[in-house]
Amino acid sequence: MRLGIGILSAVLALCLAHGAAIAAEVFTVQATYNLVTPSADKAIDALRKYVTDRGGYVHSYSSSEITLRIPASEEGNLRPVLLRIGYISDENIVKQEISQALTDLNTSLKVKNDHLAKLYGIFSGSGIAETLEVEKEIARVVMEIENIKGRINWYRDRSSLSGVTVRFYKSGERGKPAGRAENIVEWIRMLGVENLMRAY
Amino acid sequence: MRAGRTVIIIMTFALVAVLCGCETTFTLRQPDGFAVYTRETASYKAITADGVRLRAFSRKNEPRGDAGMWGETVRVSLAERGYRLTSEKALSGRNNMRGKLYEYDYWYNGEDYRYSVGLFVEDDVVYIIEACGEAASYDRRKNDIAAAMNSFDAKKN
Repeated sequence: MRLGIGILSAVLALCLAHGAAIAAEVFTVQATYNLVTPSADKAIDALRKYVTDRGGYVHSYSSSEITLRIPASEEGNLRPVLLRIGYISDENIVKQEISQALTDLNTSLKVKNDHLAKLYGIFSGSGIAETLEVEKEIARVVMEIENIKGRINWYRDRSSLSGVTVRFYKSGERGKPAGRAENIVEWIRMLGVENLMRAY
Repeated sequence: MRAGRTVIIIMTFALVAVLCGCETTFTLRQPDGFAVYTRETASYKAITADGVRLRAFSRKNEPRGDAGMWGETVRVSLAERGYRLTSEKALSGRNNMRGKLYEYDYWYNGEDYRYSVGLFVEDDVVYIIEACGEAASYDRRKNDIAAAMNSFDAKKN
């Protein structure tokens, strides 16, 4: 009976630990889309409005490319928006897990803060001869702490806002790869608003 | 009956004749407000003053399929390209011709557009009728366009 309860507790503990590990997973997402669209200007206007309405911002843009930073929770909703603007001829999404890096940085930060507290303790009780050395050490540790904080903030920013670059192409510049249906016959590819508008 | 509705456009498709070894003609009632490109011979094309377009053409039924197969192929292709299907209806042309009509919403050039495609399949020929326009303009003519598609008739000579 005791053995059974022990095994159950161990399994429960493992499950909880696993759940905590899953909950702590943090990612950065960097997406790149090639979009075939009749008007890059209108597409840029539409994407600028979309991203600002959702709490993101435009990182940079030119006549042929726009880079957005959008809340990670919105990144998955962007693809349907792009499909309303044009064809996605190519896409590349890189998702990087940064949980370990963040954990390491937080651990380092804690160690450095503890070290700094000890240095302040030594500093307050030190004689004149030691003061200069302790001051130098404090300055070095403070710099390291600020550096670690900066890196943590960078990772947090990267994980909360996904980077999305959209490159614009006009029809014919970079052909949309044929989908399953379009492999069958050429006339299927002729269908649609773009071709119908061009035909007149 | 108004004069505009009585005009019957008959198009002869030389291209189909080459492909199928037979000559096929089809008729389509001209909807109100549309002007027809009379010099066009490869397809039927008409347009309104506010830019709603109507086009019809035919292609060889190769690989051979029925209206359902071609309808599904078109549906999948357009879905992959971002077209949002809003309705799927049966078309009934003259002489008991049965077809399918798919209507879509689409965003083109930063504007809301409507697009519809009707398909009729008869033996070795697929007939395709398309229409599109800015949402407001298209919606005003939606019924006329559907009526034109339902007036479709094809004849092999």
